[in-house]
Amino acid sequence: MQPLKVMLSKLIYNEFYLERKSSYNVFYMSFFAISCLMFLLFSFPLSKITDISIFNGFLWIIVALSSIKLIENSFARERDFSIHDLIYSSSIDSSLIFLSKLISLNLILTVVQLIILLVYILFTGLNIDIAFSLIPLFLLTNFGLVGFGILIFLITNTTTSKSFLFPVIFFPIIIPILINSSNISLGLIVQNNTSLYIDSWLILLTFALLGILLGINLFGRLIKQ
Amino acid sequence: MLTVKNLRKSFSSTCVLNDVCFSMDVGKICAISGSNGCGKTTFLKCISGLVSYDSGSVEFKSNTNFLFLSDKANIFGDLTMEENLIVLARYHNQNINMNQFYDSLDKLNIKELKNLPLKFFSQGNLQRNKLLVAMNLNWDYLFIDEPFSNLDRYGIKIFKEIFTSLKSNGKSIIFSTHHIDESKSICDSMISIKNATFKSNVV
Repeated sequence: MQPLKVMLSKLIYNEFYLERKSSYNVFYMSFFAISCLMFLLFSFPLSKITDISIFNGFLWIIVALSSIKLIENSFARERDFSIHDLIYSSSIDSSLIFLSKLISLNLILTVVQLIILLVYILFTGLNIDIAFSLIPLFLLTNFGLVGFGILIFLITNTTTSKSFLFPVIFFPIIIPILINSSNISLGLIVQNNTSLYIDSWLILLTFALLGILLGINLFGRLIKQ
Repeated sequence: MLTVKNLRKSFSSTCVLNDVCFSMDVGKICAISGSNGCGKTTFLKCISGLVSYDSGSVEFKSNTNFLFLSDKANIFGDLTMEENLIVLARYHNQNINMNQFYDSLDKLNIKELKNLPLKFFSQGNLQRNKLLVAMNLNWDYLFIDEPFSNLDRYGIKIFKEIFTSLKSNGKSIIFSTHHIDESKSICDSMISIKNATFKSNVV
């Protein structure tokens, strides 16, 4: 039996291989996110576009929308040609498959977030160092978003006709994540003292840990449904 | 050895499998037949752990690997046969022997399709791809749903030859089918499901 770390790295490699060969999520999600950003830029007067608090709010709305499509796409490629039975009947622990999805989708969503940020920086001439300072926040937030997102997707998507339930249930649950991420990112961008947001960091950490632990314990059961 | 004891499975108030008992040694082939909706696929999914059951038990000898192939395509549509197999091997924590892979392409007569994405395959060739997966992954028990559907006579003949060859290597196969006459020649036992219970016949 190979160590868990080796098996997990193989599964993560699989996710990125499928992303490169089949899903192209980074491309489609970035295109979607930039379209949303363009909508913002063309909808507001020039004086408002540089208002960082407006961009900050839009950034997290775009992230929430992108995470929904990303999670749906990740399972769609398995369901399109019904390969999920073959994957989930394997001897590998289903919690490892959950972790591989969590880590790969987290990284893909982080790339999309950085692309949105860089496009905004390009338009507004903000300091590029902001992008680097936000990476830890993106990674922590995405663990919560993707972890809960995968679980809620599996609970709600038992049939295609019920797929609308996913965003309906997902949005209220992730509101605390979005509010606290938005607080921290605003603080980081305007160079405030981020220690003021220690509570927000702790809430994000709680959601991330809850998402991971619930996923490890429930993913296998939800897949069997 | 696979042992199923008093397996019961119901969907809502409809009992699909009732008090099913079944056992199977290694190196055997068993066919399951029955009318549409009688519970053939549900039984295969229950023993492969894909569907939870209401009561009873399913036990394998320790360290037993199994593979479940449903009646659907079982592919990543944008990948070629080789890429699809490599991805699946990683999910099953196995490595692929490329010589064996090319050998099985020859046996299944699909070598000319090796660079074509699987989404462009015909139904018959998708069935062949399923068997290609089975021939290249390591398992002790194969559960395969409707292996002969969408195959022409030549395809059925190839499948039967490969099933027999896998059996001679100590592998066990359980498959559901409506092709009862075609299956008789390769099976050690046949089971028909009627009114949620098993009726066993040794061929």
